[in-house]
Amino acid sequence: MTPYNFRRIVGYALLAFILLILLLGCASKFDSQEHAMIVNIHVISQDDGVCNQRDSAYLAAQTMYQDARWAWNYGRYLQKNEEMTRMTENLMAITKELDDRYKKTDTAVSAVYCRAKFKTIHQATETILRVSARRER
Amino acid sequence: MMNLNEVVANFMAQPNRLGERIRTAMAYREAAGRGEISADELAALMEDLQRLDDIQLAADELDQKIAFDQCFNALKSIPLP
Repeated sequence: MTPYNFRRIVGYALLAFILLILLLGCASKFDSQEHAMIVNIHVISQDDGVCNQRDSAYLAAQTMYQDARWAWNYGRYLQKNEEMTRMTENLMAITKELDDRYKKTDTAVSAVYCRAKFKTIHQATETILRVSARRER
Repeated sequence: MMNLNEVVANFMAQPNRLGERIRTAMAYREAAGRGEISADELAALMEDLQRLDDIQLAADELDQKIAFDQCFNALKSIPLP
């Protein structure tokens, strides 16, 4: 083996090692990232005053759905906890329905319905956060 | 034998989680009756209540699992008598 080949092999091994460390680092950080997404939905759903304006309600609905989808999609592959997946899947379905309704520009969305949705989403995130905090303890 | 109204009234009077869900569902129906929400929105909100209940059930199961694991680990660390 020439010194050049040896250096190349060592270089590749070092690169693979660094990638592995990065991957493990990302995976371990996942729990807190998922938690942050749920916390974000929890905070947004607290302010149902945004339901009075369609634009602000749509923006909030969109953010909540995107965060819920993120938490569910990554959670089911990385975390692989059956109950957590079930909870985030339901949360995603609840937020998606609201987002879909606002997306249809020709459909009227009542403020009462929007506030009820926010309340449901808030209760759902509260339950998920309570149990996930217990899990991390 | 109880009629449907009595069955619903019976559930609504319960002070637990089930009673709370039924009371919320009833409030949604009343809002739909007043024309504050459409029939379509009512159906979506009712479905959400079922999803919320499923979230609660999954949380209860996970709670149970965590409690069992904690107890089981504690048991394993106690020396044999």
